Amino acid sequence: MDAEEITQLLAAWRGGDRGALDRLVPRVYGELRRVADRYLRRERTDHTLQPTALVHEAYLRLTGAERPEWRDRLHFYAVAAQVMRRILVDHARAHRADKRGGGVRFLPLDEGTAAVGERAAELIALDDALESLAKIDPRKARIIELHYFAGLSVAETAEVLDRSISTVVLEARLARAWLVAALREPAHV
Amino acid sequence: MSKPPPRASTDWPRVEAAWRTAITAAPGERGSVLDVACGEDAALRAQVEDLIAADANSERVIVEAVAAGARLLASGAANCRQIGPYRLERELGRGGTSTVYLARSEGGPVALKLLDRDRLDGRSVVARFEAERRALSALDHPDIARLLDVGLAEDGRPYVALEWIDGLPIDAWCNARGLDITARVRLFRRVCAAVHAAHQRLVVHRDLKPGNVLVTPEGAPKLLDFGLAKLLGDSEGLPADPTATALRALTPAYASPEQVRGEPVSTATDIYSLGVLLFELATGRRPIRTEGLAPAEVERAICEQPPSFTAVRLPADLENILRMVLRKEPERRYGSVAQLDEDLGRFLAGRPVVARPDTWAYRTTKFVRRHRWAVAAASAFLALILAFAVSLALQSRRLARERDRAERTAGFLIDLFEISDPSESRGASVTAREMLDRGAVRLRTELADEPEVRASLQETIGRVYQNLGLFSGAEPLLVESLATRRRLFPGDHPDVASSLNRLAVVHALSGDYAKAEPLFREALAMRERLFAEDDPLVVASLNNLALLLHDRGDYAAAEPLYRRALRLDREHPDPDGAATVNLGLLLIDRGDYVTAEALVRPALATIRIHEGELHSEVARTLGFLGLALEGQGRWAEAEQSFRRALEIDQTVQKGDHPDLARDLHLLGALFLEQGNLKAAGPPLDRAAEIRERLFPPTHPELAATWERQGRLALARGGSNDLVQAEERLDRALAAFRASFPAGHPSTADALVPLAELRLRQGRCADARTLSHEAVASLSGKLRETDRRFERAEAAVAAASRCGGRRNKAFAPTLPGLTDQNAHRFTPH
Repeated sequence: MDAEEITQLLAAWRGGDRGALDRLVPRVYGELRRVADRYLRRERTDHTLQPTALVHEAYLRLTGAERPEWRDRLHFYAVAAQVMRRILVDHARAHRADKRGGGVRFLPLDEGTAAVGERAAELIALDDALESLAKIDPRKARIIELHYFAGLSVAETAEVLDRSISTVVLEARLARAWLVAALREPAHV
Repeated sequence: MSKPPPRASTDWPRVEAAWRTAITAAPGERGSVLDVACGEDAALRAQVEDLIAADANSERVIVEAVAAGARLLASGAANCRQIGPYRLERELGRGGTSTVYLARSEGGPVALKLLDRDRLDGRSVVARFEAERRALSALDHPDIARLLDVGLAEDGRPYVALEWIDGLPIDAWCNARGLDITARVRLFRRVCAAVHAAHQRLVVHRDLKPGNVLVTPEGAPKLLDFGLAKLLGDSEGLPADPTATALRALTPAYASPEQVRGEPVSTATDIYSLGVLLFELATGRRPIRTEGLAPAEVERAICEQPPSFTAVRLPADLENILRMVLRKEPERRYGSVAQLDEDLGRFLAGRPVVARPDTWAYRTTKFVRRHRWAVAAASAFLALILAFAVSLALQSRRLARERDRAERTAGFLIDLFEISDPSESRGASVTAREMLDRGAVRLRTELADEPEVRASLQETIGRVYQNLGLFSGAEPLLVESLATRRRLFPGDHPDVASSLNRLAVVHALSGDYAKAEPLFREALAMRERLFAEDDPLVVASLNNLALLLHDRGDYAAAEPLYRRALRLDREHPDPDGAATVNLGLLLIDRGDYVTAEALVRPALATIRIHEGELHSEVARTLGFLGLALEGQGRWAEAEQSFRRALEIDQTVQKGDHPDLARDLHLLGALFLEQGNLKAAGPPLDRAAEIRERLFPPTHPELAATWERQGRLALARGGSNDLVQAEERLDRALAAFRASFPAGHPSTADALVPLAELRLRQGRCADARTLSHEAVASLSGKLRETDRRFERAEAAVAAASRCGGRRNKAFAPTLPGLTDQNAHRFTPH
């Protein structure tokens, strides 16, 4: 039922149906949130929780596929990458807004654990920089999104974007350098 | 010179093309490649260079930013949850095993710590929590955050609710306020007071670090998580994961060596962590770098690497305090947080602190102690080490010509040999003796071309002979060593002074005071010219000369020297307490027990601070204190003191040990002095048993115990007892005669009771001979008023009245002898 529907939506979207994507996104979003919540309950999350793992698990749960069709999976991930980025950034922004006016209160635990507020700032800055990159070079921004927010391998990213692997490798490198340079100069973004 | 940031306005394809060219070139050629690619376009070149500079860590930056967002999401997913009676508001932070939330209960905000894992067996944990909770709830201290509640969340994970503190970690607080070092130490002392209060309630924190020491806006420190590390870390339900060492739950940078090794923790563990905290507050760094190390490396660094004081500028006293707090061995740190606190108080007040730096000698000894098994295991191994050390000494002389290296080699050898010292290790003395003899012979032939090294090794071997009580073996070596050094270093020289001192010690221990005195005096004078007046070597020489005069009974001359040694010492606390303790003994001998007690008590306190309670030096000093108390007739306290000494030695010494025999001897002698003949027997017998096994039959300490056994039998007075008394006293006298030259005052210790026995037996002529010899051996060495002298004179008087009348009882009611064997020369 649900899994089948997801597969159909993915196929429809691949076929050019923009409406399919609009219906797909809320489901992906909801599933990602549920997966994240379960991760939290189940194990220590500070080291193991990676967004790519969340995306993967959400995908498995949504499609119910043990051996899903490869292209479907890629397209799901292509969607999930954007969704994941949106989810993470929206949450970070909301969190930061929430903190404003609340005063700085913190009770750090162990060293190496950034206070919660700092995590939000890191991601928001990255998102802003990614936004700027997309304006001058959308494909490189997309590479970052696919590889780092959805966990697509370089080969899969190359497949989704229809580029050679070596091109993706080099462009990802340039994109990263550009982002890091931008993060070091926050005034520009 | 800030470079322009990447700009969208720049022609991006040109940037990308130039970047590609540069990035594919070898790093060394990038400059010239860029010259071509960018031409005159400085903005373009700057951008490309920025991109290249950002290349290195770019992967990590991106991955971490995304992961940070994911963690934030995960924490958000937990919001709006109810745990027990608490409503979670938001995550405050996350640790290795738990997450802390700000939560609300009816009573107001709390910090709720929720364990990440549900692998703990919740029920047993809660049962244990309940017991711990009661202990922790008793910690009602204004500077300690209260533990409010423990329980299980719906999903089975244990949680702990704590008083919610609105504060900053102490390091951040100090930095934010720009506190100077004095203010920081003052604040830290409040932390010490809180930790001490908890220790007195037998609660150890186990995980002290800045994040657990918050400071409120009003400037009050608040300690969090007291006892929680134990509560959370030791849970039995936790699966044993060999890779997840204790380190994971702890915060490695603040963990003590015993913690990372998984050994039992104690209050000393908190003292160490406080030391790391203080170090960080004072210097802005950690004493041992652990960042970026693998767990095994962290463990090694914490257990082995000394704290780094290079590149930090600290007042010397504060550095000494920190060195003491951060010692690897828990028993060598301060004995309590209160003692640390007090020393910090002294530092703030500008008074001398108790903490003192490690000595090189201590470290070397420790090295050898660690390898004791190997050294004691086989004399063949020892011989090998000797050969090795000698050739090493030669090598270092030939190759480097560094005097101190040769010295170190010799020092190493000294420590090796000291293992065979009967006071260091039992039973090895025979093989050690053989090896020493061999070493002495080898030295005669092998090192003729290296007189300096040879002299050093001769002194070493001589010292070991001396420690074994083999004075006749020691003397020729030391004489030769001294002669060589005088030739090599005409005039004043530390090595000459050292040889003089060593030879004098041997003479003094042999009872040859006449030979010893001028040597001691020359050594002292030389050291006074060479070193500052408060130098430990000068102090040692003062002590030794004083002890010689003391032993001879010249108390009037000895006391000011001791006092000089002590006064000079005060700047640097008494290196080994010898002068203090010896002066105490002098006062005991002189009958000034009250002053002796006043002197020994603070010395004992100092030793306790340096060494911790369970240490042979503490036991030894307790023995002296007991003698001072015994002299005052405070029997019960004296007994308590001796018993405590015995307890300590029974704990720290494995099996029979000379120290144990000493404690038993003192206890038995006390009972004898009290006339409690029944109680005196067993400890004296046991002391004799140990000393008989450990010492050669001529050893003066063994003789002292035989002498007490003899006096005990004499006091019992039965005919069988008199037979036993005679046998014991004869043996004692023979031993004294064998180990001391004729006329040594110690001989009188056996002569006097033996004279008493002869009187009992009606052997008046023998009694007269013995008592006269006793007086002769004491006169000129003791003052006329000395109790031993009086006692001997009384025996002479009784013997002279003994006109052949049989059974004229001589009541042994004379004052007891003090123990000569407790004296110590400083072997420096």
